Amino acid sequence: MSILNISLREARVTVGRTLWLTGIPLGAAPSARETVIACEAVGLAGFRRLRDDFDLLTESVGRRLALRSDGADVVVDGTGVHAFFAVPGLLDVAALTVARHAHARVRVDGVTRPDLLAVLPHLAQDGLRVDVQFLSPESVEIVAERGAADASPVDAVATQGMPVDADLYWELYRLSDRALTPDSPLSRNHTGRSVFNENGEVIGELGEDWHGEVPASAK
Amino acid sequence: MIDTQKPTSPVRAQLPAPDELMQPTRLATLAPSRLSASRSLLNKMAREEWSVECVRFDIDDRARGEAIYRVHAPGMSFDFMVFSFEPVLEGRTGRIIGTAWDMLGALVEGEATPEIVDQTRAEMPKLYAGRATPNTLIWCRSNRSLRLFEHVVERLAAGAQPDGDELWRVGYLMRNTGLDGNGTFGTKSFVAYEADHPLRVPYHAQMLAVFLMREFSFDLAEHLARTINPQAATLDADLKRILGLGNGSGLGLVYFVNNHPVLLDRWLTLRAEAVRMCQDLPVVVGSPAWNRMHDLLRRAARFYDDDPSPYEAFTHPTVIAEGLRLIRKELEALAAAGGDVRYGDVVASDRYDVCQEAIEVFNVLLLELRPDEVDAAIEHFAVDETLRGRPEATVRELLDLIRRDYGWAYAYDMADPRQCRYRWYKSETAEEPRRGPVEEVPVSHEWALDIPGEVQRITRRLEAEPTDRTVGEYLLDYPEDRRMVERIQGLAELSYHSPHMNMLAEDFIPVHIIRLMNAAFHGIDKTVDNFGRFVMGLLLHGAPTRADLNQRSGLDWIYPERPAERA
Repeated sequence: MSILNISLREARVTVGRTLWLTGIPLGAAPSARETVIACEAVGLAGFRRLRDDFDLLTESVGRRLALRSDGADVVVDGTGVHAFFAVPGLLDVAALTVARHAHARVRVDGVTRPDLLAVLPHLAQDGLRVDVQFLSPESVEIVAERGAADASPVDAVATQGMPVDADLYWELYRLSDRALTPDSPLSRNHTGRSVFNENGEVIGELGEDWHGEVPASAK
Repeated sequence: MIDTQKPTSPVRAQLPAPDELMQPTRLATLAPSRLSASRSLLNKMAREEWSVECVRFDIDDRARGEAIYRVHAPGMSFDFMVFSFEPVLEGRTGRIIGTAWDMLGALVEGEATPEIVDQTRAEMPKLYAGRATPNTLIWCRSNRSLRLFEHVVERLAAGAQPDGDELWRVGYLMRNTGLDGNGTFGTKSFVAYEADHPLRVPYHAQMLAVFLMREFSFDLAEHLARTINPQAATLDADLKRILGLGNGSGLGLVYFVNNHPVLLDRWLTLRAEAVRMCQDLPVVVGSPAWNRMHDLLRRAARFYDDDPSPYEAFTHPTVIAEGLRLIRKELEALAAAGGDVRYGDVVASDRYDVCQEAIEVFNVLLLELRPDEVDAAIEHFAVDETLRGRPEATVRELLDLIRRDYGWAYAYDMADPRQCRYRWYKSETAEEPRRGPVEEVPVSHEWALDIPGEVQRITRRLEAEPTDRTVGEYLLDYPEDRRMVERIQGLAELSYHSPHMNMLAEDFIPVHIIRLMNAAFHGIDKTVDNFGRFVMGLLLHGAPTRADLNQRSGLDWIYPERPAERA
């Protein structure tokens, strides 16, 4: 297996765009993206899951976590939400429960790929200590209290990069390119200072190299 | 609870209000200054006595070959590899969609060993599919000016100097067509730069590559002239300084501003605080500061008067020059009247009317009166850009925060089709950022940051929620609002993070934001607008060359003189 060391920026671009293809709302994508990257960084095979679970992720979009609370004891029905999408909300639940009660015990059922919730301690905000216990293959308990969070694996990726399976990365990279918009003569007119003819061919650039009248099609 | 007023320090209280400064048209008036990346790097190189040498120049008479430049900075050296090509016109544009470049460059930490050169040579042409070596800071590309480059070579080969007017009009031998770092293509991430790294200030690595591309443009022109005539002239040192590196920037910089609100706030705050500090300096007739200000006002007015660039929407430079002359007269009048006069009184005066661009030039001239303090401030530019939400906050607190900081966003009627005219996207062709009318981009993800639309939608939703519900609970129901809610909460203590704009609107003109980045951040002079969406300009216009740096000369370089005016 060939190994590639990718930067955090590259990971964010590739993972973020791939997630867009699942239909996830753009406003939910950044936190899901960080979850995937953290899973990859801590050895939970985040990238492979992103590729292999693409259909599951697509089906998961639109589902919502459902919350029932009784003081510091909270139950969350995952309703089939994929762990990549569930983690940000679960961390919020842990944080706001600790803010109210100094500690939290959150039982989570029905999340797709619950094993990925092992990433939770690594993504907790500073000031929140989180532990995860697996009660059964489908059920997880999150225990949280005030304290020092684990070091963020994303921070480590930012400074050191992240070794990944090169073939898998390039596969995801090509997949993520589908979030880009196909080129066309019309599209080429949507930016820059190039001047095009009616066939969409560059006939010059405004500025030093162009002194003629600009065709209406170029404006 | 959310304060209805942001926390203020005595200095911050005197800074421009966000509703004033963050208007795109106002941001576009901010002039290049010694806080701009290109100028601050050159000042740092001069102050710390960096030296630059060309250690290899193996290029043939058709411009094909390689060169290496070495930069000696305190505690570290850098090599800049150049891969030079014979120009071809096919596929050649200043945009990233181009496929032919006259040179590719790579800036690396330490020595470019043969292995590093080999790997870089093989990988760089692949662009997005390529991988930089681990010690690479920047990959860059540039093309020649089609006509000026040839003119310069021909004149030097004839033993003469190029035509000064032509040189002044174009302003560059090569133009930058791409600067990539901070993790792109596997380059070193900016946050990985060590605390004592010589290029630790944001954009300094990019600007060092700019400086070296400009050096290469001189060396290549002189080299090609010598291949025609071994007795060819060398380019006059004064003319070299006038030549900058051409630059063209498009819509990508609007994305950059959206994606870096903390960095934007940090820089604008540093700038505003520095300007405010200098505005408070006393006006003392005949003092070194007085003389320096008068010299700079004269040079700046002449520079703008002599700018031949064809601006479309931006204020004509002669208007700016006239404004600077009015400011000088007002300064003299205030000083003559006596009393405790401060430099800031000039811009606060209501006795005359000058364009905002002239006021902003005056503001950046003030920074030249306290160079050491200003240069020290830029060392604090780097900042943690992480935005953290507060899930424990209540709906009422979030609503109060939104109403305090985003009142401007309610002004847009997002039900009006004119406010949703454009779709922003990236092309699959080299990921070029583009913007088109919605009906012309039917199938695309929306890349715009729609602050007005999202703020209005979130407000409506929050108003329907129990006020004591937590934000964390709200986001369980509306996960699509997470990005904007965390942005709003994470920026709560900052003032200058988001331009007050609706980038989807029919009347939104991108060049204002592009010019903010080009002129104010990067320090680009003569920023000319095209089609409302593209800005051209000159980096390092008038800046010292490597010979100047090595000899510690030519260091007072801003606002260069037109060659024809030289005695």
